[in-house]
Amino acid sequence: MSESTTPPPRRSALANVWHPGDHGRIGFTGPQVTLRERRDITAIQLDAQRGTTDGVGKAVAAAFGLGLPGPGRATTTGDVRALWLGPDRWLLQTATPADLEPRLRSLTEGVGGVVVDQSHGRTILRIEGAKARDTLAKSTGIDLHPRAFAENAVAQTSLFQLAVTIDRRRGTSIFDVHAMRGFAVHLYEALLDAGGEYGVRLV
Amino acid sequence: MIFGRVAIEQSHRLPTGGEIDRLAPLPFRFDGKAYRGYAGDTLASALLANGVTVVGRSFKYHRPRGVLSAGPEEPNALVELRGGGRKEPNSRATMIELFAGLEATSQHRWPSLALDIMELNDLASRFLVAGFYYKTFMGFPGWRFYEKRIRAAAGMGSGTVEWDPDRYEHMNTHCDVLVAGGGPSGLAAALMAGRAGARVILVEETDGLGGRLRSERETIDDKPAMGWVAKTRAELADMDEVRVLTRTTAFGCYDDNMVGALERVADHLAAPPEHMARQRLWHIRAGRVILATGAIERPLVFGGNDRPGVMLAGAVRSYLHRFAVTPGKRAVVVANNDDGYRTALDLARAGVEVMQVLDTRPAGAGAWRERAVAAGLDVMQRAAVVNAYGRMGVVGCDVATLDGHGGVGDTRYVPCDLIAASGGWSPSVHLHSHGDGKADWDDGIAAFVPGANRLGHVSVGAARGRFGLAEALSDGLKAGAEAAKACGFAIGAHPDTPITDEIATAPLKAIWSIPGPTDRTVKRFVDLQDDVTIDDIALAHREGFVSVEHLKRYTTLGMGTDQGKTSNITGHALLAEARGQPIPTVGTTRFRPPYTPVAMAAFAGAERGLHFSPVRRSAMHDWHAEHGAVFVEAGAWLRPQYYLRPGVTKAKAVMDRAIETEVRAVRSKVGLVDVSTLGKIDIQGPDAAEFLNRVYANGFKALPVGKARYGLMLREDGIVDDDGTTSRLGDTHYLMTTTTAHAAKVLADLEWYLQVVWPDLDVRVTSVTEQWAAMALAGPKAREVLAAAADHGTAVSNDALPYLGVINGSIAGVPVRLFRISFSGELGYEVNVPADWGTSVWEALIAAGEPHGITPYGMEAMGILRIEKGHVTHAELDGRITLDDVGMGRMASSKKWFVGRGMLDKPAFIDPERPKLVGLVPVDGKTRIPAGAILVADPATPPPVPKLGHVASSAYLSPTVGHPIALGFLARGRDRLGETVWAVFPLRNLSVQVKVVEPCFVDPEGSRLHV
Repeated sequence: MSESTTPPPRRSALANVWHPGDHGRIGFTGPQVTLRERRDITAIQLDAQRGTTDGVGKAVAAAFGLGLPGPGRATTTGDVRALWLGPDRWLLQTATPADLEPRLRSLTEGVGGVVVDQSHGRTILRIEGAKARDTLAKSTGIDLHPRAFAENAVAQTSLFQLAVTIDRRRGTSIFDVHAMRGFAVHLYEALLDAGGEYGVRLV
Repeated sequence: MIFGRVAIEQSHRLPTGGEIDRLAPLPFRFDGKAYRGYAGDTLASALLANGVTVVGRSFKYHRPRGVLSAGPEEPNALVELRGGGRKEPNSRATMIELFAGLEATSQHRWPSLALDIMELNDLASRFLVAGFYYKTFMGFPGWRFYEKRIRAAAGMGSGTVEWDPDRYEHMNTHCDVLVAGGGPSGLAAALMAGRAGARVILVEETDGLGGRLRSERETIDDKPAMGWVAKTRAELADMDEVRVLTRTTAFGCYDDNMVGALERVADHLAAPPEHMARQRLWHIRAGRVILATGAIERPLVFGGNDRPGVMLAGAVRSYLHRFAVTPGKRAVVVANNDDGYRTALDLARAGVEVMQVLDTRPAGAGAWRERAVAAGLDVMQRAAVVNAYGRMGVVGCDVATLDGHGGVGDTRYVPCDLIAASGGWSPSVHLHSHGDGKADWDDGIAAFVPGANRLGHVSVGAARGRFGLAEALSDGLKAGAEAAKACGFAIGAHPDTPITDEIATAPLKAIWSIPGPTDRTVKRFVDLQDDVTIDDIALAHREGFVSVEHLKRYTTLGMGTDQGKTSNITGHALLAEARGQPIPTVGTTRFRPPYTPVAMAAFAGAERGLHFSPVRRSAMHDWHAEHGAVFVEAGAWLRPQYYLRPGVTKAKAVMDRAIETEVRAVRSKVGLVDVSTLGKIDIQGPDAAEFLNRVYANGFKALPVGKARYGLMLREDGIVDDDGTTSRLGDTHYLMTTTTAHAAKVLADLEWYLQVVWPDLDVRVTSVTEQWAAMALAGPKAREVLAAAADHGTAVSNDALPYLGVINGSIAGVPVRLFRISFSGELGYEVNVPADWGTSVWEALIAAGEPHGITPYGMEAMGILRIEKGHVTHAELDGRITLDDVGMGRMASSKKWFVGRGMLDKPAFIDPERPKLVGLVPVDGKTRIPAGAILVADPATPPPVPKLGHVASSAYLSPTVGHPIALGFLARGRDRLGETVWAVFPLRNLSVQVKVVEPCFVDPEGSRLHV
């Protein structure tokens, strides 16, 4: 019988391959792409059962002050961000607190919410910089131009043969790419390869 | 230094002018010989500057050929560029930008360009007419032998089998307005759309903007036209939303305004810089497409018109103006339009001796003609070259007057080393045609122009037959403004079309073939790349190939790598003449992408080698790798196949021993295996129980909370689809597991049932495969290990966690789900762990198991363990198997309806002869039974041998029973227990006598599970 009570640190799927520093072709202006892994994110999928969309939305709004977004969009309040994933389906993510899942469960289960923890199931890479868009455009057909894919736009698409969610964050050319954890190394290798000509800084 | 000695100086280079950089001389080699050109040259212009006239041999007759054009249409000057893994056959010398150290070799010749044995074909050419080979050899004995030789003799260069060391990639982009072509009309269009604020992409095939303006002496607003180009380029460069891609060819138009373009990022360099792509394939999705693709000049068809030194007149002007090269010293110019005069004047201005200017049109006035005459040029009207002489380069030609009825007057010999010919210009309607655009015949220019277009593409300037500069500019301005407006942008004041100093042109008069001299037979080529002559077309017509599509395939007209850019229209016009019908009636072939050749590597892009297909790794992957795992692919997953002890090298015997050790550990002590790859589907909702009851053949409604149950699901046709355990985690909350291979399919099926078949059920399904790392702890000591690893408060006794029980617990501080299920037949637990903690828990279990001799095991051991137990997987459930076939017919519930139930009684499913699952052991107790072997009663039976069944999976050695075992399907298998049959594998000439036994070799009562 072991005496542990608190879980150990979470281990990234990229723990073995992530080498911080500059990679690829570095010009006078330095790397044009910055890549970081968003670690220790709590990500909870929230579904609304049939006919409970309003109730679930109100429960979330009351607790977090967060409106659940419509198709292709994300909303943020404080530390909680909600991404639209599909009809009556959202992903709520936060860096803190870690008790998002039980909170959501108690808040919404009575009104038709269905909660599934996906915190460990996704690797989230944040890609930003002058050439972030071009790096992604080497593999996705989504139009990432700000006129077509503004801040808080969310798309589920394919990237380097993977099913991913691309979430445009506030700021110039900042994208969060969510991929299945098992494919994290592939995504990382493919992004380094695609961004090589622009120079990639791994943070 | 290889390029130290330069054999020939640039004898044909003009002292001034051109876009070349005389301060940047570039050494290069052609057929091993050293030359020098300048930055800004193409290989073709550099060769011409050095007086090299013969650059290749023709495809069929192996006649010496020179450079015909200065653009992408080049049919003759095809070379093998570079070497090794970078070798590229059929590279057009006219499109290869010169770089220092460039190496190219000529094609279609053996042993050398000057002496090519296959030139004998030319002498025998009266026999080598269209279809000759097929008519002569095909069907005769030995055709297969001849075919190879004949095809080798034709040959279109040779490729390489070496790995291409360069990087290729794709790029996706979107824009409001795409402009294909950076000539005056394209630039004007991009300018207007860009000024309106639209997102504009301009693609230009060559290294710079300007199009024909780079090759002509025209002015815009009283200044050299290239000044306007530079000004426009600068303005475009300042626009944030305008992207100009040079060295980029729009090669295909596809539905929804998707345009494929190939950017030659580093083709102009000896090798791409590190991390840079050599070529980039663009997928451009545009709101509006403007085609400013220009026009291609047509050669004239006269005797010896393929001789090196016969060039397109426009190409001659390109070499003069853009490259400062005189392709000859003494020129004859022949044309059916005013470009002849334009060319002759330019040649004379460059110091080339113009021997004769021939205008095939009847006598008539015209501003251009007057200029030529005024310049003192010797102009003949209604006259043409009727035969050109000079095997390795033109030395002279016969010129004659034309009587207008297919006859010629007296011929006169004119010495010359260059014949510039123009048969008029054909708009490049290729991209328009890709978009299902019709081509309309325009008699005025004797060419097809873009007609109706389903995709709404707009052609401008020369691409729609408006060859004048002023027309091109105004066309472009208008189209650019309209396209931007159509995309929702406000258009400012329309600027005045820039002023040009064009001279009015007199109309062209088509002449599709020029009669040969009366005193000799001559070869008059229509398609230079495919060696199709006017006689071949006549022959095809005589033999009944009177449709353009048949003509093309019979004669190969237009079927070369150039796709008939300089030959199609002439060929079709000649067919029309033969048929006595107008050209539009005869029609033209449809163009298909790509406009110019695109390397397969560009289509493959970055997805090769490491990036060929995604690899999926479990949360414990790094631990496995550090502990000697040898990985095996399971779909996208990499799974440990077995573990090698440190310091042991991989070998067959070592592998067998390692696997045996792993199996023994599980049966006698305890083992740990990574099962993260199994599909895991979270199922929640008020109707979840009902849903599961419908998708599984066995009952699920009575499954209590905290229990797991093995389930089988069928396809709608009654065949077993997948199996796995499903656990009830809460009242309306289940966790389903699937096989690794079918995880995605099962999820898709569940979604399909919920969305389409039973929309009344309120259930939500989500894949949680990636959320949970999963490991199976199995063996007699499994409970002791789990108890030692579990945190305080997690009880794993038989009472707390009985067989098929499910509890939440904690190991190493990590919240886990514990399932008491077993695939190995031993006391077993499956532990599900949030993936980021997978390694922590795995390590905790290994540490807790250390005193018990815990052994990590891989796929091979797992396979043997389950075969020993007769547990089926996809080797058995292969899409042909029913529940009854695997002895699980009684699992199908009789109390409910479920997917596939309606099909269970169909005659084929209840046929008593249907093969049933059995166990198989070698009669001799040692011979391995190959999986995939066919089961027969007696291998000595003369064929056809009746098949009784097959071997589905095989353990080459079961350490537990001490000999090889296998599972298979055997007709009336249940009745044959104890009998012997043969497992035969004819491909490897194997046959093994096997005894039929129960499909369970270890603990048939399942007593080990319930301890």
